[in-house]
Amino acid sequence: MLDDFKELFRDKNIPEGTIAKYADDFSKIVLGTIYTDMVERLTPEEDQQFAALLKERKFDELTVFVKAKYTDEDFAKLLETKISPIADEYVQMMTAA
Amino acid sequence: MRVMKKPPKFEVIEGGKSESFEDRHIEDTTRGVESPESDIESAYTPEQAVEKAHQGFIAKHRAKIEAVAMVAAAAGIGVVGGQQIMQWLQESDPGSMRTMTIGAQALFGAITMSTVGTLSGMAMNKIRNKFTDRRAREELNQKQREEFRRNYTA
Repeated sequence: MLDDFKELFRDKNIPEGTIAKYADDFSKIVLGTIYTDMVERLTPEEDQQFAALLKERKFDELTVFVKAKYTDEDFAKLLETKISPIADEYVQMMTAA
Repeated sequence: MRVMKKPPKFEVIEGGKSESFEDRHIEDTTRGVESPESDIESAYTPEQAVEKAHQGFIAKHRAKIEAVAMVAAAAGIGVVGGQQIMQWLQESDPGSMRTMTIGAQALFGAITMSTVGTLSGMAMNKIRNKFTDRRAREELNQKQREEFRRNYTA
């Protein structure tokens, strides 16, 4: 994913450390967006579990956690309707800059 | 042979042409910055333009996520994860107190919502009791009137 991300900033003379920071910020927005969609499906215990994984930055486990809350179809829909538009917007903004 | 004078490499835009914030901002950022085309779009270096676009994107979506997290907290769902999300997002802009303020509002919102629920319940009970009391008094009055009529109007 970081390679795709780096490609966005090709020819813009952006240091790799800054690109890594951008990737980190972007992933926060994506996960935040997923959380806001998922929140109504969570019990209080699951909510705490999600917060703990987020705090410890266990991203692989977070992915498993999120997928477990959705059917394959629902998860594909989430990606298509909520995440893809955000990614598209980011790509457009960064390539236009 | 005439030698053409080279154009200046750096361009300083004179101030005082416009009073708008945008114009003042552009004037400030272009001082001493190489300006190849001397138009407004060249006021930022590519790095500055990317940074500005990135920050704009983060601010826009962060605000949206914070708002949803706040509503979720007020509704009593997703409180812990919402707080963690807001703390996490704050790392993108450590200088800002805004996220912390919204976090506090979310907590306050959760308390207020539950308080409002309790108060509404109490208010409803009071209204119901008053209504019941009034009806009881009316029934009593009716009985007293009937008794009065029976005893003294025959």
